Amino acid sequence: MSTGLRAFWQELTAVLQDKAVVVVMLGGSVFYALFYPLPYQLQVAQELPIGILDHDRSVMSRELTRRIDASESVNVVITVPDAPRLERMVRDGQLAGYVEIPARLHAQILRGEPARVAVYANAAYMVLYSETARAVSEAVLDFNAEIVEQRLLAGGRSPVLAENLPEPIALDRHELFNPDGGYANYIVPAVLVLIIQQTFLIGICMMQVGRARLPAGTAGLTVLTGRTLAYLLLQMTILLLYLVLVYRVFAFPSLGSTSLALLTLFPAFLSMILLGLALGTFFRTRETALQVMMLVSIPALFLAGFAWPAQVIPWPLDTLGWLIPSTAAIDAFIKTHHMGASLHEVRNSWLMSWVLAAGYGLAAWWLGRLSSEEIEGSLSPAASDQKR
Amino acid sequence: MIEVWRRELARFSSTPRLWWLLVFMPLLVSLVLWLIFSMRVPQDLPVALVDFDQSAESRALQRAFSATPGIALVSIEPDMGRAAMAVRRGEVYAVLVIPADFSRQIVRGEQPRLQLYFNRQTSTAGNIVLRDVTTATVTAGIGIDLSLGVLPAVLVDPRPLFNPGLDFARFLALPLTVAVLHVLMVIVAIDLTGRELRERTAGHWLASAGGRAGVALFAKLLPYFVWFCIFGGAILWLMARSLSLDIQGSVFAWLLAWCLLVAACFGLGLLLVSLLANLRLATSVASVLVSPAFAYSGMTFPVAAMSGFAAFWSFVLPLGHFLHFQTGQLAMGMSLRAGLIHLACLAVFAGLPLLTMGRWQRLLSDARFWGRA
Repeated sequence: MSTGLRAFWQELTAVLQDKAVVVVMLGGSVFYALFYPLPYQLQVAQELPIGILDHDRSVMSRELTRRIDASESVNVVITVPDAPRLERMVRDGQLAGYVEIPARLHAQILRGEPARVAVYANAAYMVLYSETARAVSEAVLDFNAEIVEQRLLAGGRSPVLAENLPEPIALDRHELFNPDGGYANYIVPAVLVLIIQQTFLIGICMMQVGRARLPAGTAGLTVLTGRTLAYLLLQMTILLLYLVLVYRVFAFPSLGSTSLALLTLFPAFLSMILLGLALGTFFRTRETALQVMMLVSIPALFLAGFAWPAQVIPWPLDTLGWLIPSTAAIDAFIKTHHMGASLHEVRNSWLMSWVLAAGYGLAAWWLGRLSSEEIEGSLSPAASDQKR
Repeated sequence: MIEVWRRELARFSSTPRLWWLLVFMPLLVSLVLWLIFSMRVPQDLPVALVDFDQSAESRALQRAFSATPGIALVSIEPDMGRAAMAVRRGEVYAVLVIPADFSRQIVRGEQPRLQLYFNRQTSTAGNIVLRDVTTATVTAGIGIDLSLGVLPAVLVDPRPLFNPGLDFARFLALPLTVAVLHVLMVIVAIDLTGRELRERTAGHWLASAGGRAGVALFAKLLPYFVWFCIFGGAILWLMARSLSLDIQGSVFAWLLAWCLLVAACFGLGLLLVSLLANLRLATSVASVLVSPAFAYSGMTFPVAAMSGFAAFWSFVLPLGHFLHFQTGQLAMGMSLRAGLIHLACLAVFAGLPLLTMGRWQRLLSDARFWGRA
């Protein structure tokens, strides 16, 4: 057997026989993928409790209340003319918000004066606010359109004009890539890529602890390649499991091409593995790798530029974020697998992954040939302490 | 107790790792998170405008869209293929199409239909684009109606409570910092105690506490508990100040809850070490429990919309209780009575190690539990 093939086979069997690594790296990546989407199963917030502050208590205000209550997103649980009480309930988290109906709603509508309805919603929770405000606004706009239409008809305008004028410009909304606007559909695919990165970084670093140095010269490079391919095989297996199993179980939509997604993730996975092989040489004990990776998951997710728009991240930080393999990986994966982008359209991320793979590969090769004492010596004491 | 502290001081000063975990990592992570969200409110998100009409009316409409804070129009040539490509490449978050006979339809009252194609794969940006485009369309429509002498019957005013500027950063940067610190505190609690077992120094530790496991644990962890209460509390306070949070409730109650969260994290860590008697295994199990805790906390996706296991798990984990209490006190002016349940749940976690004192006594005195890799 050639050196490379032997290294590949040895690494694969060593990983699979190492209970701790199997649990964290393979068990962890499957477990998290099934565990993480659970909170978002309903996808959209429904039946959020709201109150109605009805100063009018007229036929009109009751009709408006009924319209608002009919919305799927909100549920009117209390109707009282008591502002402090409703505000208290929002403060204490019992209501997502409340709608204030003015005292002269009915009178103003009869006189043809515009009436103003206010929707107060808890903006300390963004989803709560946007869902409540949206649902109430839509109900009020519909209510408004009907009244205006009847007025126009009564005023002798043609039925067509009466129907069109309340909403002189219509807006047709087409939700791209995520048809029902589901929360899980948006966040989980990106997190899956991050899960693969984090679990494999931990597992690879654990394998690297106390490892003998790489052989000198090109043999070292061959061994490194063999090991890298062993992890690549495992990562691709996990990825296929995600695409086949996890995507089915949670019914995530994906409008793009799976084979293209695999192609774009190939260099990204290489960069993750080689980063692990390089980083791993700094760790002295196995659990330290786990400790460090647990702390970087959240910052890495928000640096990836999809949950929080990359345009509004300060550019030096955004630039540093590209050193983390998941940033380019998530970008390329979401665009090819979910947004139907071609390889050409994600070429920046794809090339970045190759650059990272090459850079981390060189680092892994160079560090792998040094002994742990030499690594300590080559760095300032503080830097090596950090990784320990 | 003094003896335990003397011993711990020697251990601490010879363990640079603890310096990193206690001082540098909290500072670094909170700084990075603060910087990520330093723009506070996403503005000028690029939206491609495809104007097939190119009339005075369509340009007036463009001005209405440009006036909204959230979006910035990027004009592109009237070519849908080009527009779709810009979306796939991530250059724009949406495409807004003004139809060819827009101005003619406006004049005739024929209700032209704008088409908005928006990227729902990026939630925050997609929602802002949708909100601003909808608002601008409704506003432009009212303007047209007024010019025709048609008055609206009922208008709606959105009034965001507790966060008038719709500042996302406040409710992401601060909770995420807490989430990372809470992971860190569980890690530290496990590391401090589990490593004594791993390195077979548990017997020495117990001896320094006069043979009593309770004293050994309490004395060893007390300085770290105080440290996280003060240092972590200071980080959170500074962050709340820099996010110009106008504190609505009680600062004292907030910081008290923070100390309870520190105790809860230590409690969780100690429980895991005592049950598993293995540093690495305890850290692995902790990562399963605390790493996804933010997703379950209900800070982004509301708990009210979770069901079954997720709702249960969300209630069981300590992180969510602190975060809801924090938001309640800092932003919403939640009454202490409504927040009491959260404090109680944190206290339960803090008290967990009391259940396993007998086991700790065995772990620290029986060498069979030591040295497990």
